[in-house]
Amino acid sequence: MEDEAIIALFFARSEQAIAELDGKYGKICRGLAQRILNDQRDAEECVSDAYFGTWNAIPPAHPDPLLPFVCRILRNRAIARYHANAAQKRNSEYDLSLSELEEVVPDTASAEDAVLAGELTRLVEEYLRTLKTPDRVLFLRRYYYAEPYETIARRLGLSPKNVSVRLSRVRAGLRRYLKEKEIIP
Amino acid sequence: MNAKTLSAALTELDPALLAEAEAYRPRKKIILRSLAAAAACLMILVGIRMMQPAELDLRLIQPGTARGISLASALEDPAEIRLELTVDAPVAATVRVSGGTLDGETRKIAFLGTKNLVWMVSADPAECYTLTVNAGFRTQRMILTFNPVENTWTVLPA
Repeated sequence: MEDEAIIALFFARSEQAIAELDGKYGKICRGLAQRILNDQRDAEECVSDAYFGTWNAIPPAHPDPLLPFVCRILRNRAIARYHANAAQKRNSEYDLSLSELEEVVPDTASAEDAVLAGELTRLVEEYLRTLKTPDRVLFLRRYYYAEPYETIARRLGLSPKNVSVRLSRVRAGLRRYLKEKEIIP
Repeated sequence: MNAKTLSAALTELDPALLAEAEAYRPRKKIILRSLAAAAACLMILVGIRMMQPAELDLRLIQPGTARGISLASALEDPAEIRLELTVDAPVAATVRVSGGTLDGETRKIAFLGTKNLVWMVSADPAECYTLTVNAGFRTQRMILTFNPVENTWTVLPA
């Protein structure tokens, strides 16, 4: 079913909308939540939460495309759950992607973070737009979707080693960019 | 600021960037897949072509009654249809007879080369026999009637 038809079901307040949403994007959503949380039950709950969040948001929202909209809700919920589970053993794919991002920004948590986050999003978008499409996709698949190197490599027709090297360059580039913009020292 | 802040900031990225990441398929991969599909199609076509006979030749050998008439005392008006079939491809050829006493009889022969086929049939001139041979996508048809006076088979236009 097309996104537009699913959104129409949401607008009609038909519960079929959730079934159609799950049928079309359920696998992607569960994969993303699972990679962040590394726990199937938590992942399932987050996906359900995200569907409920989508149900509450549409209407009035009319997202186009639909998947990034759902992923944004899901990622927020999953990351919140991840932090709530902080005492748990850290071994998810998301942990690995986070540890790689520590190369880009040093750990200097401050009260400004909340303000910075909005600015940071804008700068990361700017930086990503300077990249060639394959590098941009690599970055997002790794640090947004928390996909393992092997999965990204298969999807993009590269070797895992090549993915690792290219991601390393993209991270170094992002670090330079954020330094230039005086976001990090 | 730390990596978590950066990761959280990614959540709010422009949906268009995420849609691009979702939809992106590398050109190299598409080209390789297309080439692989084209090569597979080519191999299938070559395979089909190799299995197709360029030559399919069903030939009547005269006289067809060498044994038939001499055995008249033992069999009631028998005649012999003796054919030579040539197929130049490694395929199974099917020869089907319709009409007369052999109506519905089928023979399947594995080919490559020339083989002889013999049927004993009634020599009744009122009966005619249609032989249809199929090999691969090729078909040949032959209609025969027997002339007891001249002891020969006549091939009618199919």
